[in-house]
Amino acid sequence: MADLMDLTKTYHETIRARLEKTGLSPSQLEVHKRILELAATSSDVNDLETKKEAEGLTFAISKTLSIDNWMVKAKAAKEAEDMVAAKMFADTAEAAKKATDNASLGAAIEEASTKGMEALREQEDIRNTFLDAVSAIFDYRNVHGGYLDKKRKFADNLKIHDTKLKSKGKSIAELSKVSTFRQSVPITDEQWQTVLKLYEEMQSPTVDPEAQAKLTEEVNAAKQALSGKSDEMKAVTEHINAKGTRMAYLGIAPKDAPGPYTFEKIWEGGCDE
Amino acid sequence: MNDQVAQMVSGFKLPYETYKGMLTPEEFAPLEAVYSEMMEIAEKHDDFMAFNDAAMKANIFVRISEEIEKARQIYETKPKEERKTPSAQSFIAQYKALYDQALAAPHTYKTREVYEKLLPMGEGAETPLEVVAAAEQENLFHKIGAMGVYDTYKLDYDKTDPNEELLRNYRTDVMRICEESLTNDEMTYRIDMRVFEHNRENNRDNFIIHLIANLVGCFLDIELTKSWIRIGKLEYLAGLIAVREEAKSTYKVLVDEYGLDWDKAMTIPRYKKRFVMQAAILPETTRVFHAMAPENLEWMKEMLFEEILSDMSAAEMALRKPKNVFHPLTLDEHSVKYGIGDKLKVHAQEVLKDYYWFKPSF
Repeated sequence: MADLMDLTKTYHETIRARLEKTGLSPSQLEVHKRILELAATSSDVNDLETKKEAEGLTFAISKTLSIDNWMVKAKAAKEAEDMVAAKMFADTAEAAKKATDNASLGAAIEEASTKGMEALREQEDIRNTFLDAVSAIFDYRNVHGGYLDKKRKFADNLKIHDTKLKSKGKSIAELSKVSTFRQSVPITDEQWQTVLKLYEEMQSPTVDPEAQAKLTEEVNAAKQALSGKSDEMKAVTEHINAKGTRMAYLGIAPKDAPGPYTFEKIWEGGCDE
Repeated sequence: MNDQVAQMVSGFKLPYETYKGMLTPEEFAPLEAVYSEMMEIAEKHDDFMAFNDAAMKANIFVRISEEIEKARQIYETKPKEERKTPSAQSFIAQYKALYDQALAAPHTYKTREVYEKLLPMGEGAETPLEVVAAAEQENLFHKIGAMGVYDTYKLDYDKTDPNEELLRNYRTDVMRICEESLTNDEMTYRIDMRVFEHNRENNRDNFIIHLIANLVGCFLDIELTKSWIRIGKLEYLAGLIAVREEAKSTYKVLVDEYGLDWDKAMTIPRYKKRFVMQAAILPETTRVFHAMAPENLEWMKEMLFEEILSDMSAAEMALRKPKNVFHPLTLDEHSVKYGIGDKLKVHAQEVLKDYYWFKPSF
């Protein structure tokens, strides 16, 4: 039978070496180092167990497992500049540090992480609303200056998102300066200036008189050009309808590697279906 | 035994094996009795629903949960010196139960490999500590968790359209992290970093996809307004001119600000897909989708370069006889009338039937 004391030392030494190598689990490392110190002066495993119990090291193993894991999550969030997530994870680690036994450890983590998850959900909701608002501004940006109805439509869209942000005490201008939000949209500093300018304009959209005049001019010119051309237009319609059957396809991705899609025709009907 | 049934009952095997090694035969007898009853029901019913009905009728899940809780209390209220230390074999039996659970899930092959290294370590061992120390040398306890994550991401990777490169690369990276990591904390830290990066990439990509969707929407609007104009509804002229301007502006943003012109978009399959995709068909995979006629890509290209970006007037647009005509989309009403949705699902399932992860349901 293998010597239990040797096995115990081998076990903790193996873990110690691994934790030291990764450098991401300092609390656990301390516990395993301490157990190895105690093992060096223990007569047998029972003696070691007694010493471990006296210093609370058995519980410390599970407690530090939790602390270190929440701390690495906080580290990752901080490096990704997501400060809400970083705080939530760090707070949960702090709560774990205060636990005195397995039951209080479980309860502390449950309480802190539940509260933290609410903050994270709220942040995700804000992020999604912010992204929707910026998209609405881009939609508005591309609208014809003389097309007031469509400008209003996108301005109304923005208003929905903006109102939601304001109800949470946030604004697009403020969020655009926060790294985690700013990084969520592929927009340069120059584009941001345009976005913020358009945001102001969208508060009460107006028609661009020059664009509107040009639109009216183009419409009138088109009406004139199409006058008496109904047969020609009918012929175009017939040309399109003769070939333009309504179709449904199944798009199929390539099997293993990126490449072209294949398309399988599932149904075809007339153009007037 | 039916796979689903096996998976359901295997969840109770771990506590069963755990307390079997830690309680006296008398203390263990009530849990053993309910467990045996559950296994008998499982063996008798090859259909999951039938098993579930029989199990519910016997109130088996509540009863076994109660017995597990009682077993836990018996063990925990014993004085420390009276607590039975499990043998190496009963310690390994707990992992055998988890291995059996993994066997019931076909995608967990990496996890199973770890258990297959761990289980023989129980042979000849006299104490759990011998097994634990040997397993720790091979880092098997970390690998059990890490390969569980690996297998889950691999399954998602396999289900994902290979052209969805952002997603596939993210999943490949997570799988690599699982294989390379030495500790749970290292794995957590590196995966979390990758998750943050992926979320950023994904949000940014969705922004560009939104612009593509707007451009496609403009193509469809232009075609529709032209068709109204051709039948004499000239009040649509303003709409045609405005939407053409919107299309031009959207395309200009894609080209000038995101470097994505038509030719480039057509070389990036996941963007090309967005020009023709109508809807997903099956919730579990993006490998198949409902598409409009792929011929419409030529129609879009022609409209973009011949009409939208040219100096052509609105009247000339309405009068132009296109080389590539538009093939209208099938909408909900067509799906209902001609059963297109069902046809798509049947064909999709035929295409996917050989993938190990796919279970036909239609």
